Amino acid sequence: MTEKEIVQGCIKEDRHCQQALFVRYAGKMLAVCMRYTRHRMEAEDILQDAFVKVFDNIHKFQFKGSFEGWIRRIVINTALKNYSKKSFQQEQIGLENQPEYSTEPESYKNLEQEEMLRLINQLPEGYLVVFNLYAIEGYSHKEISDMLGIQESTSRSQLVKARKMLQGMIVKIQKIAV
Amino acid sequence: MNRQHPLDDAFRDKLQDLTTETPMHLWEQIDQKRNWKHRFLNQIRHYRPFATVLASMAAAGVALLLWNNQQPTLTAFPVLATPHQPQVALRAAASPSVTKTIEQHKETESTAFANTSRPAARSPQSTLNISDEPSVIAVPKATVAQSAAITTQQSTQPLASAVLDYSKTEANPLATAEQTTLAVSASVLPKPAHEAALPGIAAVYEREQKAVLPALFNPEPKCAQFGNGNWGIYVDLMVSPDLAFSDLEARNANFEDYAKSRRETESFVFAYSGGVRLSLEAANGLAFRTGINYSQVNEKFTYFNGTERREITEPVRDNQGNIIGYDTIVTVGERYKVSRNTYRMLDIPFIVGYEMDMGKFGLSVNGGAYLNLLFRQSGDFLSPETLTPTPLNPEDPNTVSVFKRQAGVGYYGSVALTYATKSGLELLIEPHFKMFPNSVTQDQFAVQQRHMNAGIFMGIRKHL
Repeated sequence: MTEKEIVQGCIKEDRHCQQALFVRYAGKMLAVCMRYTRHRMEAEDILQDAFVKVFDNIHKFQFKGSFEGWIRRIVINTALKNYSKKSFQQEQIGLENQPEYSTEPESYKNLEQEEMLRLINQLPEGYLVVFNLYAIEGYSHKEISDMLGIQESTSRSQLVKARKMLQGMIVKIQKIAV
Repeated sequence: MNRQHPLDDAFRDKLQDLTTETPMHLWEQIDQKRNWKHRFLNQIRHYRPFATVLASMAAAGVALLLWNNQQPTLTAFPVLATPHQPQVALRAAASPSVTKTIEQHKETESTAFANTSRPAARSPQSTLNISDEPSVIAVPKATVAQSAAITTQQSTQPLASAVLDYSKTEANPLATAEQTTLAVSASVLPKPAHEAALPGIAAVYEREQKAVLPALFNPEPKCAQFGNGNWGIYVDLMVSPDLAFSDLEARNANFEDYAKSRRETESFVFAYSGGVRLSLEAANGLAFRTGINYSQVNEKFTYFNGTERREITEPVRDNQGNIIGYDTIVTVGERYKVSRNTYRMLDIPFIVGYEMDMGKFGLSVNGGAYLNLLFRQSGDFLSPETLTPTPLNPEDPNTVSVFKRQAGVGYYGSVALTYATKSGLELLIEPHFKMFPNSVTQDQFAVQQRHMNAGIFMGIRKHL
């Protein structure tokens, strides 16, 4: 089945098409969810909620642009909604005095996917979200500030701090490896 | 494009398309979460233009059904009739035995007046002088109209009918109670001219049906121009503080003073309305809206009469307990009464609008019809017969139904401004007016009463 056939079947509430859609995109979307949460169970809950929204709103998809991008946006919004339930500010960590780490860009490429995921999950939630949205999803600080309801400057500083923290964690890993 | 850091690039390259193995029990849980409600609603969304048309037709059908079932019954007429006095007179004219009793009543009453020390005045009943021959009875002026109405109802019965003598009619029924005469005759006489002008019940039904059907089934010409563009369904939830205007107009010159008294005793306090509305909007901006609307008008009724008369009629019995006559005692005193009147309406709107999109703001112009399903009242108003407080509620056994059960079809117009919020809801402000051109009182009632509301709806709009 083509993507269009699957979508049209889902609009008509065809369960086979819905299952096909789930099988096609669930793996990738679960990985997205895992970047926004610390626990797999939480990620699975978000994925479920997101797919319920996808099936409920699939009639709104206009067949313009990427369908995967449309689903991804729903998944990210669902993750952010879950994230906004928690206190953003309580998890702030004072990193102002944290030392700068000098790391070679080549050293990042040696990291495995699972390791990167584990590093991201160790970030405080505010940093985690901003880093995911900016570095991986490609949103601008303006878009992030609108999505999260924060100042653009806050988004920038969160990103800088997230990078610092990740660099520090990568340096520690490399020292242990040496 | 974001200015990328090497760290960002490394993470994006490896994590953006990362895929994780997904257990299939997640699919089963999703399938369970999406119960029949989700699926049903989704199907409706898929076929939303058809669903909206069907829902509108169903609403119109229900409205029509309720409309037909709630028409006033014949027993509610005539509204201007006093249930007792003229009927006693008519029965008396037909039965000699009753005539004798009434003559006894007259004699006893005169005696009672002579003996009482309380402030009293002669009742209009005290001048009853009925025999088998045509005679003259003095009744309050208001009763004249009632008698005419009764004649309408009983003209086919072999009883006496009434002839009205308007030669001595005055504006104030209390002041001129004994100046108007009613001749009772044993023969059937032609109906008075103003009675003949009253429409029959069948005509009332027919006219109201004709007024409703075009509003329901003749669509706005623009409706036929709906294109095949994208459709949007919105639900509006809104409430409004209202200003209400009630227009009271006498049906003929005899009731001008009554209408004036009504205006003086009733004053507007506050009004509000609220409702839920479903909108089907085409891509070209045309919108069709329907739903349910409740509105309530609160008024204050103030009554004061420094010389109100009350009559008490008691039977006079002999030593064996047999009734030998009746004693009528009239007392005069002050009466002050304040009550809260409410007029409640339940309407179905049928509105056509045009939406203009201006970024986060939206402007729409709307117009259409309001089909009134229910019209209910409570409180008090001045009786046209006695000019004393009478309950408004038609269910009250102490009153007669003067209001229609539906207010008919009203006009609606509004300008709405919406503002889209980040949460996906739109804030809605809609200045509006609503006017019912037809009188809400029965066609045989003394005054015509029309309602008009103006207010500002405030609410939220949700895209379904």
